[in-house]
Amino acid sequence: MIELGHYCLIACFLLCVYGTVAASLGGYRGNLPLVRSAENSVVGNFVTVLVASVSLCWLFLTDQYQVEYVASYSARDIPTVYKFTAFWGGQAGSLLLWALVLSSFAMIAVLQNRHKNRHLMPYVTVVLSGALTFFMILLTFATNPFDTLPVAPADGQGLNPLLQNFYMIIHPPILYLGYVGMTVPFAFAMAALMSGRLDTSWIRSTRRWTLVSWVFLTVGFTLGGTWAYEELGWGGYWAWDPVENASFMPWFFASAFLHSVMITEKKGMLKMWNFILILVAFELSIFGTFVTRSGVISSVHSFALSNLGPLFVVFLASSTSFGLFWIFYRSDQLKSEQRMQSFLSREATFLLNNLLFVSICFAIFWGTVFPIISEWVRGEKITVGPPFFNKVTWPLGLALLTLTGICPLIAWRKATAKNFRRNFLFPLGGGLLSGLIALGLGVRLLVPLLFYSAAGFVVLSIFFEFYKGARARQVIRPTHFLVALKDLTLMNKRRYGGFIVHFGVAMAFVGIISSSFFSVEKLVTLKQGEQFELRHYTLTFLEMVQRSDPEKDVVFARLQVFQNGEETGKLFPQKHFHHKSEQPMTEVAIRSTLRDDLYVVLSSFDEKLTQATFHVFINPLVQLIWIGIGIMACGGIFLFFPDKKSASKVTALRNRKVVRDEAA
Amino acid sequence: MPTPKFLIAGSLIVGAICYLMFSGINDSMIYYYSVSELMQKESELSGEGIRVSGYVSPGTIHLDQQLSQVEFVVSEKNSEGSLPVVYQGLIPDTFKDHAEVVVEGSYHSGQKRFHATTLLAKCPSKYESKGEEHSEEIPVAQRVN
Repeated sequence: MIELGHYCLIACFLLCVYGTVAASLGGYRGNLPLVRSAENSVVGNFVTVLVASVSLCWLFLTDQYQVEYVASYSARDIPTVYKFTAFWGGQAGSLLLWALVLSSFAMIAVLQNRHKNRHLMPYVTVVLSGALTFFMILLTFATNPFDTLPVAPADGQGLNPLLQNFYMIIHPPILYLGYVGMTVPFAFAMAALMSGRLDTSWIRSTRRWTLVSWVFLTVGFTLGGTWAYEELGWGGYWAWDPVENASFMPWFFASAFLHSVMITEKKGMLKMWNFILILVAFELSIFGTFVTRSGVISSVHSFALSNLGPLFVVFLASSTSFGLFWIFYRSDQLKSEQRMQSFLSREATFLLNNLLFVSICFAIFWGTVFPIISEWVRGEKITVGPPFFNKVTWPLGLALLTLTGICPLIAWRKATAKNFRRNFLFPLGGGLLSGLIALGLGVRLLVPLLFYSAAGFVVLSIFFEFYKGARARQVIRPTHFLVALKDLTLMNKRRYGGFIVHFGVAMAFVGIISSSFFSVEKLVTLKQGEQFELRHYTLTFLEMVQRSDPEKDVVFARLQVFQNGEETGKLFPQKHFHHKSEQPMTEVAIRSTLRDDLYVVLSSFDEKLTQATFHVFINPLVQLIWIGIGIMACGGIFLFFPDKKSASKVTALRNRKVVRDEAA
Repeated sequence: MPTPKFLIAGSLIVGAICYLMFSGINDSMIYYYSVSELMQKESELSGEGIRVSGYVSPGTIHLDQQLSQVEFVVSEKNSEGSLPVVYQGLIPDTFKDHAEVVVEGSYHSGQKRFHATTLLAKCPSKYESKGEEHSEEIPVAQRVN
């Protein structure tokens, strides 16, 4: 199995090199058999990487500790499911997962396009095979998961208990699907540039693949946040840690692209901009993988670079220059077909929206790499913490949220007073009203008030649009309002799917702002039987209990919870002491309601188990974040499906052609 | 080319965003020192908000249950100098003897003590001997605000 995996990796590497060369020659000379052969090699890549991955899984499941990677991340007594997930517990395995996902995406892209986009496909194959070549170089020469130890240890070193939970099973693969997904739109965009066929056909494929990546990134970093919230026990879900930021950055560029592409399709503007967005999104997804895997920034010590650092830098630099070269080479063909006419137009607000996405991303990037840059430039390591990110992102986020309401409603070219009255009066009133309601509920801080008003404005504008659209349909074809609503949404998925995403965005914003501004925390030490109060909750410390199972000792506190004086249940914050690990595991107890989360951490306790210290948080509206992001992801999936309308348009066109042919 | 009015508006917006970023950096930047660097600049850094990294000297952790306060000494592996730290707040699971820690707070040369407001600890054990895993730096007592 070890040899099999190893040879598969080498075979895949050779196939990748062949695919890259064959596809470029085939594309350049218009040699179809050579292109087909390169496309077949993409299928071969998938098969070889799949066999290698299955081998690695098998080595994990059968405890083959002569393999260094297996010995480092697994052990005999960890549950089977974690032996499986230990696959991506370390560097070599996660790169193999990258390669597996990339090769399967590449195969899907190639097979999907066997009979369409033929002018693009040779170059798509070049880029996909080229990117995979890089990862195969890493896997075969720099960090091979099948490297063996001279002497097999009796047992493995085990998997960090922090990584042994549900979120760590699904979070890394999903995030990787998002990161890797950005390679495919990049390949289509590059193919359009290389082939010189810059009509809208590349946009279709690129947009859909970007959506795929966008959905996975959204879900991926949210799961990371949920994991941090439920496992790390510091009461929050986002710490602006470099690795978190890395997963966030490509998302902004993907979002920017998904918006700007509409302007290109409708108005023929922002053409070059789209290519730049896709290029940067791709580079940031590679950078994200690099940050996650190399620890270049998160490492406490400067430049604790793994051996992968230079290779990643070379790949980032070469792929960026490759992309920029082609963008400038075709810059004549990328001129705008129209000029912007007014600030108060949909074109201008979309441009502003793009500027904001890119700025937020740049600010996050700047804060993330600042320690490295300051060390290079000034010789001193300077870090910027969460205050920097919070300070910079809130004004930009507020502007972005407000635009979420404005962009879809404002008229193309130039908004008129009539457009304003018709579309904005009602939502603006709603926004004002929601601000006043928040004020009435006791919110006295300006920033949250602004956000609540903006969110109210957005939500109402969305409801208003759905309502107006459905009413308009009812006029044409009298049906029930709900039927009209359904038809409306299904007929114009891009517009109404976008509204669904925006609704989720507004909800998530409300949750983020509320939990950031209005959470409280308290550190208390209680003796058995004592009580303490925080806002509308009262907690009674009943007792400490100790329990053992074969794997670990568990110590937990029993707390009775009263809400507004009424008994509402018990909470059991715990500490686990795994026998194999030196480090205790703190298990947070969370009581979630829509209104707030009561979040209790068992901080420490005395030996007699009569007294314990608790860290208690009340985080308002955290659930709205998860629900809102869930809605965003669903909206994204909805957007992926083609419009009924466009399908019917195609048939209509075809029918017309048939009629014309018959007439002739 | 875009018309002048869009160029002006665009550069105004970009300027505002740049201002936001640079003022943000200035307001929230924290110098990062090792223990020995701090010792050299002891008097000059007193009272400043800084970040220090090092290792927990074994046997120096004293936990005050009542105050939920912990006192410990941070030192470096290959050099002299040790830094007594006092910290109140949530203690990460990975915090123990020999652990690699980052403390954020300020040093008071009068008391010869570092008052930490944030304590990050990295597990010293076998788990992340190779590639880094992002669970290693565990933010505690940091709040989104």
